[in-house]
Amino acid sequence: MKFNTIRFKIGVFYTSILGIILIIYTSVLHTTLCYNLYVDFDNKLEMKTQGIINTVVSYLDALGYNQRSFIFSAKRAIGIEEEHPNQNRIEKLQSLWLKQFNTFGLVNDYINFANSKGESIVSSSNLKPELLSLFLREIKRARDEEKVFRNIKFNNRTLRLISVPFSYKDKAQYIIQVGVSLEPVISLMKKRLYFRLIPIPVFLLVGFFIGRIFARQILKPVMEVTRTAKSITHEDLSLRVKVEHIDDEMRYLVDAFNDMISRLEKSFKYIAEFNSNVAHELKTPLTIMRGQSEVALRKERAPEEYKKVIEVNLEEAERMLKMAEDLLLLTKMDYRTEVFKFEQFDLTQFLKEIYEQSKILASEKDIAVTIDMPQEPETINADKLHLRRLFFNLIDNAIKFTPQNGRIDIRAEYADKKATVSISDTGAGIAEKDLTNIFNKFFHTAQGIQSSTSGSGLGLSIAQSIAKLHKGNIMVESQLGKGSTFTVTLPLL
Amino acid sequence: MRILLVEDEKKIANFIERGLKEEHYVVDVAYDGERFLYLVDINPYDLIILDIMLPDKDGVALCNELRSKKIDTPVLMLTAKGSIRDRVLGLNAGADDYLTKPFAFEELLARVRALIRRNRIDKTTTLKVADLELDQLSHRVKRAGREITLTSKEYSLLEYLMLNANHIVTRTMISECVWNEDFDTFTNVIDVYINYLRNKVDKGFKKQLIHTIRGRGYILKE
Repeated sequence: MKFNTIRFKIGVFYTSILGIILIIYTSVLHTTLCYNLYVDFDNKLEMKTQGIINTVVSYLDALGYNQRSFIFSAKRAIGIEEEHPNQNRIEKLQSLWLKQFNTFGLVNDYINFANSKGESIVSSSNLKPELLSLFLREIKRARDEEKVFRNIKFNNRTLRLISVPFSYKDKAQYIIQVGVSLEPVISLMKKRLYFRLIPIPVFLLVGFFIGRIFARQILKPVMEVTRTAKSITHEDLSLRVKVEHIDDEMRYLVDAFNDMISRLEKSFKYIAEFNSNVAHELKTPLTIMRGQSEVALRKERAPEEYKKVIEVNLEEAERMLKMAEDLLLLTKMDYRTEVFKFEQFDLTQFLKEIYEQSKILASEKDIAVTIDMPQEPETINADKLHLRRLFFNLIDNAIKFTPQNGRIDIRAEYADKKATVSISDTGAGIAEKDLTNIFNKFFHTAQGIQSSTSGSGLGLSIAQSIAKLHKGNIMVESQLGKGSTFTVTLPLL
Repeated sequence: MRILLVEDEKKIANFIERGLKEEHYVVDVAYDGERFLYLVDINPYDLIILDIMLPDKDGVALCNELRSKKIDTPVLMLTAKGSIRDRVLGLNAGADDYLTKPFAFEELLARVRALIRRNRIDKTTTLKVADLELDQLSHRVKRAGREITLTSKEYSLLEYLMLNANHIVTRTMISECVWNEDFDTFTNVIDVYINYLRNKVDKGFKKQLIHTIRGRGYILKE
């Protein structure tokens, strides 16, 4: 059994609650019983005492009151034989009392008659002097009150003592004391208490195990989650925790867990796809470099042929380098946006510079570049370096896909705190089915692949990421064979 | 031996084509699936080298389509994807072999030879007719122990004739199997090459091996 488990704790919790309830219940029950037994016992004791008083009184009635008659009556009442001149007057009473005497079981009781001064007049023979002195100590209280019940400890035994004052026709004040052993009551209560206490540990043990079973039932989904979590590896994220017949709270947990696994699976899939794309993109230049070098080395060749191979290899090495840089940039944009340095500058001036440089780039293919934009300065808060990257990725694409003697038009507008810059070309255009994919990483159009300078498939993805980081956007319109227009929107200050 | 290479990366296609041509294979190149399907319809190929990632269709689908046309030309798949799943997918689609990029060119050649050999009853790499011998690995040709130097085209033509020894081959068969798509049907280039071969193989020997069957074609026999 492990102690640091919820099952154990719930078991202990159940047991404690059950234990507390049982103990409270038992003590209340026991106290009530004790009280009732005492009340009952006291009533009997009182009745007994009253019986004795009545007997003494009726004896005195028959004999006539005097000191001697009282002593005689008291002795007779507690079963001590003594002669009296008018004994014949009480024959009838005597036989009546004998019956009662046995019923009350007065033989074992301790009875004492005392006068108002607290001196013992008559006492039963079993009342030893030490005990008698204990009895007499109680008389003082009895004189002040109606009757007094007291427990007296004597020789390891407990006696219940009742002291009742009485008088005979207001002639003289007496006190009768009757002591009865409490042992039967105490032993009865002890027995009862044992009977109540002994089953408690059994109840607690049962409660503990029921608690554990209950907890296990409740925690079953947790086990299921654990089991599933353990069997989930990076290779197989398809497992889910089954959700049948479980409590709502657990269902939330299980659902949350399953959702988390789904998200993980999705991002792992994305990473795997991304990696395989990277591998593919890297493998292409590697295949070219390796393959053509091997072919070149198969036999002796003219120096020009070697030169061509080295040139192509260099191109491919540069392509790989460019891709590595692009990938790094994309990672930065996804995870380390703090590398972007935003500053305020004049967008008009910036676009003019872009235009001038575009003209130089496009001149190699005799492509004309035009610009149509407002002349007034307009401040923008942006990362200049990356914004340049955005525009040149778009312009490079435009040049790449536009045939010799084509045209590229740059158009800019400022309105509603927004700058809209569109770059239109008269190039190959993009098929409609590709339009939704061109901003995806590693996407190549059919035309892109067959062009001699195949890119990494990351250019537009990077451009879009840069636009998004500036809270802007890039949209595209295109007609296959006629050309494409990329429209960049950026927020102005 | 005529090979169809299907590869969208121009530079990869370039070096494979060049390397194979230097090994005396006749090579046609298709840069996309559409062109590939067109070429396999009109020409007989001894082998197809098929890249799995093409701009318009993927290689696996193309392979399926090829097999559904009842064309059983061996297919060697080329791909950058090397996972077992991809390989199984390709092989299930009817490809005969699989090569992962970047590959060693020698391995490509070895697999090409093995796949072409697979379709023949005689699995040796040395072809023999009478005292004429052709080693397909070293590309050496000997007649009666004496080495004969041949140009690439002459070699391909002789190899084709020897593979079909004792059977008549028509000019059309020759043009389809020894020349690539650039062949111009209206020239007598085949007759010219047959003449070159006769000069190198039969000249000076008593026994002539290359015979013209009038109106039908040529036959190489003892």
